[in-house]
Amino acid sequence: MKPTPSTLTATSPAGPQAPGTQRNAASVLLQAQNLGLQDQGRWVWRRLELAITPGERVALTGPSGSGKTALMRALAGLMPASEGDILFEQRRLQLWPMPQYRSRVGYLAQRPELGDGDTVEAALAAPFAYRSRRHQACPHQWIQHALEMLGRNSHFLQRRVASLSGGEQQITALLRLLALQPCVLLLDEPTAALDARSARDVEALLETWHGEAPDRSWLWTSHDGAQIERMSTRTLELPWMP
Amino acid sequence: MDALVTDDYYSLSLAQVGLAALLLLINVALSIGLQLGLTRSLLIASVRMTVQLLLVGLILEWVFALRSPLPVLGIAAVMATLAGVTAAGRTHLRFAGMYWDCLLSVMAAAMLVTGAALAGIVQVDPWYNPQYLIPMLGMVLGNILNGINLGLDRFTTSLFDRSALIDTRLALGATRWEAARSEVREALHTALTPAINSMLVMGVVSLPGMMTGQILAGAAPVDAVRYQIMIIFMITAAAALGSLGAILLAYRRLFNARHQFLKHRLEKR
Repeated sequence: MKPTPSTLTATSPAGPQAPGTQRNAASVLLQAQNLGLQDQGRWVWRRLELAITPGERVALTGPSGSGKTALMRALAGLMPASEGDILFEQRRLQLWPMPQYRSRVGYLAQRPELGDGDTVEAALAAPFAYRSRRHQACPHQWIQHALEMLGRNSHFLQRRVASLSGGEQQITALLRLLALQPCVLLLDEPTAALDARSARDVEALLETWHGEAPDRSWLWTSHDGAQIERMSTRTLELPWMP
Repeated sequence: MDALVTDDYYSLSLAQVGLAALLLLINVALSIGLQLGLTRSLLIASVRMTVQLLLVGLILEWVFALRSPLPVLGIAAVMATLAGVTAAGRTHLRFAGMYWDCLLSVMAAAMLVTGAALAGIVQVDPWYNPQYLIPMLGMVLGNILNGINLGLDRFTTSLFDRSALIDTRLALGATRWEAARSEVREALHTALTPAINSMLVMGVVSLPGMMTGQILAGAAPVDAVRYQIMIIFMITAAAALGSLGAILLAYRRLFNARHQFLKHRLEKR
């Protein structure tokens, strides 16, 4: 099958913006150059150009099967792309020690696993035992504050992970990710499992997180047009490749 | 051939073995009476077992007469290869390179443990004496095979089923070892449990075949027991070494140096 070339298009709720490639390289935080992924002979996406600048909030959209999750996973360094480069802070992904890179670029899967740790508190603390986090302490105060924002008190920390609803698991996974203080968030439909109110709480928490440091950015996949409008300044659309 | 009575040992003639085969009629009668549909497979299995063992008897007779190390080592290598291939061939999931990993682990573990026992503990002279090397190796290989098979099966299945969890750990900054450590531990546990269980009931619930054989052949029970104890330690150590080797080699194939879990390398059979 002959692959069809395609480029990630950039549009904004406020009108079209310059495509990622034309941005000033020095101000780019996370960048994909000529990125392609092949799966069993078919190009899921190819010749992707993407650039996220410090502080930017970008939405990633596209029809089902266009490879949004695969792109997120490739950007998180969880799977190798078939061609092209990913750069973080102008440094190629291959040159980053992976655990260190993933401490800066945090990925939240669509259906995250909490696995390690019986209680919410243990699950939140588990990543701080990793070698790459040894210098970092679990920010208990920040977690308390975030829980309040989500309308939950400290009893939530003692809940057993196995007893959490899908939405609560999603919130716990998000809290765990934010507690690690990454610089870029890759959020794969972070509110898909939540009711409308919890979704708004999560949005508020992420807004707060974003405001805490000037370079915090995210790439957010969502099928909810209103949410995209609220949570992003720019939209990247993945085309579907036959 | 006539039944021979040696000093303290009754040898079996072929006619006596034929008489023993009549015991199979019990199974055949059961199968026909209860319509189990097993008659055909029972007969085929019995014939195969008889032919295989008679052939092995002939080969061993020839091997035991050998007085040079090369052919003995050749036979040992064939046995180890068969064990490695069997260990790799019986898991639910497979990955490229698995046969080589199993082969390497089986060879290394068997060589180390059997070598240590022959040269270091029993101090057989010459060290390749086939009467000792071949049966000991056979027992060691059987247990390595089981250990690797159970351990590798558990390891690959857990990784496959928990791939989302493994990826989550990696995404949160875990190294590949931190991400796979608990699965490695569980797999080793699974690999070693049968060996530990059998040690617990050894002599109480089960009388090991080798010891029984030695006693039948006229060895003093105390002597046979000492041998058996040594063999059990050998096979437990070999199963541990072999399964650890196979699991660690599998880990190296399924996680790359970029701390990525390569789930796509795991294929269902």
